Amino acid sequence: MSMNQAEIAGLPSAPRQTIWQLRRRRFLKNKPAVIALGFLVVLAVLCGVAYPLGQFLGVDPATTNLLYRFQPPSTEHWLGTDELGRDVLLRLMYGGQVSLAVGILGTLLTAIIGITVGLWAGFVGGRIDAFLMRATDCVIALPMTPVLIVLGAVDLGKLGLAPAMANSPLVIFLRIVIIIALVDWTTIARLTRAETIAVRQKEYVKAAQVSGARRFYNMMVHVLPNITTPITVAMTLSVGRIILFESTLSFLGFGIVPPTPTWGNMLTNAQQLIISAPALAVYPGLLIFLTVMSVNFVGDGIRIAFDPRSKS
Amino acid sequence: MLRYTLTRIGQAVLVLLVMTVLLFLLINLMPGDPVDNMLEGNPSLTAASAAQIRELYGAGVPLPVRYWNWITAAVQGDFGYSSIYFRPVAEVLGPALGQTLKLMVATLVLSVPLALLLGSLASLRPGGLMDNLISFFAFASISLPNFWLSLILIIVFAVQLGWLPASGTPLETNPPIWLEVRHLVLPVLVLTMFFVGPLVRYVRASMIETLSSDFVRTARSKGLSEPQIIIRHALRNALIPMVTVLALGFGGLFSGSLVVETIFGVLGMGKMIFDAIRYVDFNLALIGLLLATLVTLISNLLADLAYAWLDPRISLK
Repeated sequence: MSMNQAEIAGLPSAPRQTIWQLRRRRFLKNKPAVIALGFLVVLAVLCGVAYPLGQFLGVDPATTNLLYRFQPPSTEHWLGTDELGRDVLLRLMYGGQVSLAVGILGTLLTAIIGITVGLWAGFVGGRIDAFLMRATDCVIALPMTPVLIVLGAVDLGKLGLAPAMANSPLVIFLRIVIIIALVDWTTIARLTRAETIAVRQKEYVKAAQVSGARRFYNMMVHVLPNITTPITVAMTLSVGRIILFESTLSFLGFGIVPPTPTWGNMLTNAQQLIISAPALAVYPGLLIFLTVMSVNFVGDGIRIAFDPRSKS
Repeated sequence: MLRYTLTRIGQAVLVLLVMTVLLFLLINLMPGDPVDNMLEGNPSLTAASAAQIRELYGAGVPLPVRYWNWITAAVQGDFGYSSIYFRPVAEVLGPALGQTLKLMVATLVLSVPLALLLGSLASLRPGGLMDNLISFFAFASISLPNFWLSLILIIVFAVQLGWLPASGTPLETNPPIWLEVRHLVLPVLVLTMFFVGPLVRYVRASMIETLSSDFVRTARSKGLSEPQIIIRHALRNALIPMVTVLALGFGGLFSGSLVVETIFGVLGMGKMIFDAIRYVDFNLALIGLLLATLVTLISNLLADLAYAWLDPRISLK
């Protein structure tokens, strides 16, 4: 039986807690962040049940019906129908699936590129570091929105992809994820590099090096696990940014293209409908706004909860 | 300082050169080629003249050679011909740049004082009601999709209330200033909302730090009034790094105005680039993108230089 010193001495001991318990407690104290997280969970679940709900209501979101346009909300179409007679609610739910998926997948890819570049540059240093950082500077100097549009306009056929494949929904989806990751990795790369340089100097890393640890092993086992906190925070914040990029691109017609609904492309036609059906312009944008706002609040909450120096 | 400046300028030029290659490759990956588009628009073109145009445009010439031809011409000020405006690219650029600059300047004039005001107000009592409200506003500003905000403002102010025009360009050829201003109100409002959020957060953080420093305590103990402490002592110090943030944000603002210009029909750089990409105007898209890159590069460069110049503690390495 093990007893610690405090118990032996009969002194009151502070409740023991792991770092994760502490972080969770600090996060839960942050009301806006908790509300935002709750909203995101509810939203994800709602978007997830789009298919069963469609079955239940007997409504197919892809069916157009020109005799049934701009219907007000009814028991069959809870939010009415759009300019082609399609169910607005179900399209919003399917659009949410796409937006959230792009946000999460895009962030993962962004993080993979960013962490690889940052870790490598920071740990190896020297010329490789200089080269990678100049490359990062180049990408940062790119005007974000215009370049995303050019990348969205790139003809995959010229890159040797068969036309049928280039226009398949899956490829279009993946290409959005990839092009956003291609311009958005710089923040995480710079952050990872700075953190890596700070950790590289630590004794345990040096000790491992002296004991003959390979460079890759050392990076993965001793450096990366110790810099996950700031990277996690940066990743959360980039989810919101990526959702905004995707919706902007889709709105302009260079992202996810109809008939696949996304919150962005549901607004493409809204500009012509602002007089006849202004509600159609409100819902998708409001959802983008609330989602991105929630993600940012959660990110801020994580930042405060994970930072031992910040006051709770 | 001089050496640092020169090194940074050298780096920027190098980055610009790399960008020309990158953008040239990208533009060439856009669908179709300019001659195809011309043939579609003008069926009476004979095969012979099509071949002639193709030769003029340098089709069939390998990519590196085409790049070399383009860059040598561009350096001498020959940016080629725009296929959607039927005018030399250089002639199209001027007015568009002017229009975008109007938007930028108006946005800066509006958002900098607003950010200073809100940021300082929030910093007075961190965690207080005012701070929470302003922080919420800043978060909203960062999270708002600017194309949606544009639509909502059009619906409210142009359609429902009828106070302001929904387009960013007056119909008259030589509009009086007040009319032009009226048309620019909504676009500038959207851009300000887009730009002000990060600034507010920045001013707030910087002010909170400054207000807890020794010289502010000294000013307080001297018996200065609170407004005097904040405006004359704290804000002035908090302003220094603000220059960098502004310069860095300028590039983002320039690129972010693309969406706003497209929705409101402001005939600026952003809309020009968008149209050029949409209607596959290679020459115009290329120069437009390059110019936008240049703006970002210059503002980043100015940010670095201003930082080193204003704060002598920065090591110039």
